[in-house]
Amino acid sequence: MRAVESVWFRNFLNHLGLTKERYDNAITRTTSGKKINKLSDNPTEMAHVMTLRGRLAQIAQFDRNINSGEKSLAAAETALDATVKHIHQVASLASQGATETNTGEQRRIIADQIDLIRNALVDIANTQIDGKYVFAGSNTTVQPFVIEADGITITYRGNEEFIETQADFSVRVATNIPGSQVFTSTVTGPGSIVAIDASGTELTFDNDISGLLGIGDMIVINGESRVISAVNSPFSVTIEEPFSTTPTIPSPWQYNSEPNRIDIFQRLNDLSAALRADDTAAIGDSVASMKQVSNHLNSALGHIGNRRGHLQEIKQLLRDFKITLTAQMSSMEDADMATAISDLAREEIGLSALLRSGARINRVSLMDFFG
Amino acid sequence: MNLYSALELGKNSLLAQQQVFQIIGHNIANVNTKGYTRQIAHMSQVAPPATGSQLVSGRGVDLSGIFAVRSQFIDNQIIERARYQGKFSNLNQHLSGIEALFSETAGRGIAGQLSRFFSNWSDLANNPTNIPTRQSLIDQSVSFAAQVRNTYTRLSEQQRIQDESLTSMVKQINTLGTEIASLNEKIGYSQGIGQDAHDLIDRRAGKVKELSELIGINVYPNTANSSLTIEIAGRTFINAADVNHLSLERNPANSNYFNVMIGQFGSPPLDITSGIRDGRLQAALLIRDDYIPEYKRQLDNFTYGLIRQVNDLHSSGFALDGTTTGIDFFVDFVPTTPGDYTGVSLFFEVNTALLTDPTLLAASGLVDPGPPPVGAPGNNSNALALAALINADNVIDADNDGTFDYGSFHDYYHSLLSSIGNQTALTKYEQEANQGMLIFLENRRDEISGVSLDEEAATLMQFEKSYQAMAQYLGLVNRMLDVLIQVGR
Repeated sequence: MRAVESVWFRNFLNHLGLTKERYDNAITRTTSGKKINKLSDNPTEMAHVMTLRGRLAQIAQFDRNINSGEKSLAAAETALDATVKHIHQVASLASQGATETNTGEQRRIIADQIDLIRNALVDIANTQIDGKYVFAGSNTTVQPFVIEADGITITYRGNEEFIETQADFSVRVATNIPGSQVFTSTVTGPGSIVAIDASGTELTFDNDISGLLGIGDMIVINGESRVISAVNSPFSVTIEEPFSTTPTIPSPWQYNSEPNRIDIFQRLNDLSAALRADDTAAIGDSVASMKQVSNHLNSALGHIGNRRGHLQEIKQLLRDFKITLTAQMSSMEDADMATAISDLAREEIGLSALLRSGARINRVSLMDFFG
Repeated sequence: MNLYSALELGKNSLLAQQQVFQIIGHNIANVNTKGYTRQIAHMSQVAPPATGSQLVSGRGVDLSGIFAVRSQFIDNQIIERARYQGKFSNLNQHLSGIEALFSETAGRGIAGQLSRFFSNWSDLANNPTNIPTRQSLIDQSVSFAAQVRNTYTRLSEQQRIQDESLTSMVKQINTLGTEIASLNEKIGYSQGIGQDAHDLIDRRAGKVKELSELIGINVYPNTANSSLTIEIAGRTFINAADVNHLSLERNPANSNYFNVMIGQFGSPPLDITSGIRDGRLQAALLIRDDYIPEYKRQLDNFTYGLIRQVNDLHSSGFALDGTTTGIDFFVDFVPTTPGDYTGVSLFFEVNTALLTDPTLLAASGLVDPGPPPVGAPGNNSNALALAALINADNVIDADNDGTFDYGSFHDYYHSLLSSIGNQTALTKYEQEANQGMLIFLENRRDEISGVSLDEEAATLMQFEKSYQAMAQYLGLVNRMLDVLIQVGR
């Protein structure tokens, strides 16, 4: 084989180019800490890394969702805890009021206290967090519990919706309890009652109520409630018994289409009325009634506690999943620093050796020996 | 033989040696000339005149020829390899530019934006009444849409750049064609008058290699006049001294991009765009007509899927006021023919109504069917549904048949990224392989045809010695003549 200078130079330049490229890649790997820096570095792994990255972003989002859900649930929990304490107080006031030795004056004082507690509970039921009403269903921008013009009836303006949060790839958890399921499900009816017949049981409305009311639902006027026994027409219903005082016509009205639910405000109103009327039997009954209320509240608290527990569990699972995914991604994407640095050192040595030998090409030539 | 003929012999031999010196000088001077083929002198003894006498000596030495040490086989292989080298180096150069457009480092690419887009819907679901949350979703969507539009525009720019590069390449090809044709003519002429045309042949080989790098050619040597006939896409480009120049013509059927045409010796030029194989020129055509249109198609499918799915859900939801419904999130796009979403990415924009009024974001789903149907400000079911699109299947019409049967968004986009990555990696590999092969071939060529300075130095010494000896010989003959002249005095 003939050894020709141009071959040496060409080989030198070619190897210099290749070595410099490897050197450059080694520097990129050490400085970025990643072994895949471009799509073409490893297209298959790159797609995998991107998928993992997307998953990790979702997990971070789930974590935020869970925290936000927990915040709402915690707010509801605090509010219900306070409510339970108030109800205990009411129960002890009720048993105090039931004592035969009490005078009417003393009962009225207790009744005033009950009214104050009721108002405090309305405030609690209107708890807000981040500008949203906690117990309004999804109608979070409207104050859910309003004391009507009669000063007694408290109606619910929220709705029955649960608000969910995406806690995991496939799990959604409700982060609220609609106030109608805890405090009262009495709602303001549209329009007014325009006529009551002589028996006091047939009520006529100025609005179509066929979609709202059915047999078994309750009509509430001035804090008194009556069960509907028949729907006569889209504008008329019959109630089981007349109101104790016939309402003045036209009269605003409320209704409760979930009469089986415990209506805390209604019960407090009943208690207050019984105290003012010295109805000791009814007062005595309300002690048991308050027991039911606190059971009812405790079961709501139990639901909330369960959901918080569920969210915690999911959070823990996601944390573990995140660790697994991060490790996977790291093994694909991250450069092993020890390897990367020793690669860099090796390329550096190679490069300097190459440059040294390049500089020596043609140091000696027969041409040097011509006299 | 007499002394005079000995003088003659000496003089001719000295002349022959001098000519060899000239050839060695020529070799040394061209040691760094690309494509130069070393030349060697062929000396041969001069035979005695045919006199019939048996005792006649030879008449010294003569330069009988100059040979170029050439391997046609390797030269042909170099020309053949150059076309692939040209193609893949051009492909690699531009594909790595396109690859950079889709870079996802630190989640700043379209895939990262897509994740954030859905993540923002999830944030909105956590806080549907919060105006800043609504505003930030809209802001991020605007930047997401802009990034998609930009990427698409950059791809179109790349197509235009490739198209424009044809102009200069065709010009270069035509110049090379003219040069090769004129070299064909000169070589034919030189050889016609019995002259060696080694240097012209070297130059022509260099030009043919350059041409091959630009565009795939077939080369046929013509023994009769030593010319090369060159074909492009099966059509004659150079025949002896004639060239059919290439030209460009805009093609309205292909976005008004250029078609490559070849002259037909007087007849109207012929379109050879689809017949061109290899060379830098085919690489430009491939990027312009195959690679980028495919990337654009997939990006369009992705964008249209996003517009369709997001708009369908968004317009079914309710704004913060609980009653406004039927609002598109992105500016809607109606394909003129089902499945044809060409260019939708250019119109990818957030509905302008939302830009001024973030309360119009439809986070709420249907709460009460009414009539009239209403949502609720705190209801987040629509935001949840939109956030869940991130993992939804069958959201993209991948095969452009009008049905959405491919998904998810991320999967589709990642497959686009990996096809770009794969193509770039492949051309890089091909380019390196061809580069290596070309270097190997050029090294083999130089081993045969290249100038070695040591070798030339050795030859120089060798001929210096024989020149000196010949000069001594002439001096001796001269002294002998002197002796004879003395005798005659």
